[in-house]
Amino acid sequence: MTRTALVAQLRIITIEDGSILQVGDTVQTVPVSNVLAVQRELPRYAGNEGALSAFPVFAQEIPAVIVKEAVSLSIRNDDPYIRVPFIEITGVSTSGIVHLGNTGTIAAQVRTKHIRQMTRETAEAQSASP
Amino acid sequence: MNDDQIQMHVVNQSIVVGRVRILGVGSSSVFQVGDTETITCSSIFDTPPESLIVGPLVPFAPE
Repeated sequence: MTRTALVAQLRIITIEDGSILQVGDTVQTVPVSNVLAVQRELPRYAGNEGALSAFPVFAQEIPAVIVKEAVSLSIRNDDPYIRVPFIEITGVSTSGIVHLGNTGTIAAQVRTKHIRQMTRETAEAQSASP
Repeated sequence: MNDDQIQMHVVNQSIVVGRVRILGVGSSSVFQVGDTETITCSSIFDTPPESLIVGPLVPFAPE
């Protein structure tokens, strides 16, 4: 017998960037995010730049977990409810999942490339300071 | 039955969590009230030394 989540009140301020709020059961949940995080000293951005194919991190294979052990699992639910009267979450971001209810498979994936671009003068000043 | 097989028996008794406060669920993370069979969360974060580019601002490859 499956269990039911009993949540009286749920408060979330923001959900963004490929994240999921799911109320109810699912079979499969697969959020995927590709992030190019760029910090520029001078805030100048050409509108069309940012092809992800230029960075191998967005193409490289993620090693899969191999389950070698054979596990015989049996679950008995004495109480058919999971009670959580109050949940408060400030932010859900970048393939984050908030799930009230049961699911079969969750497979979240995030790839982030973080790049900082500075002008020469600022970089030299920073490396010179202790 | 196979002798190498792991036998796992779970008894879920009554559970009540009065109040949950979370600041952030981020980058392929999960907060769940419920049961699940499989969770696979993977995250690649790449910020090597060469990610710091010093010099004139050159745009990245266009889409």
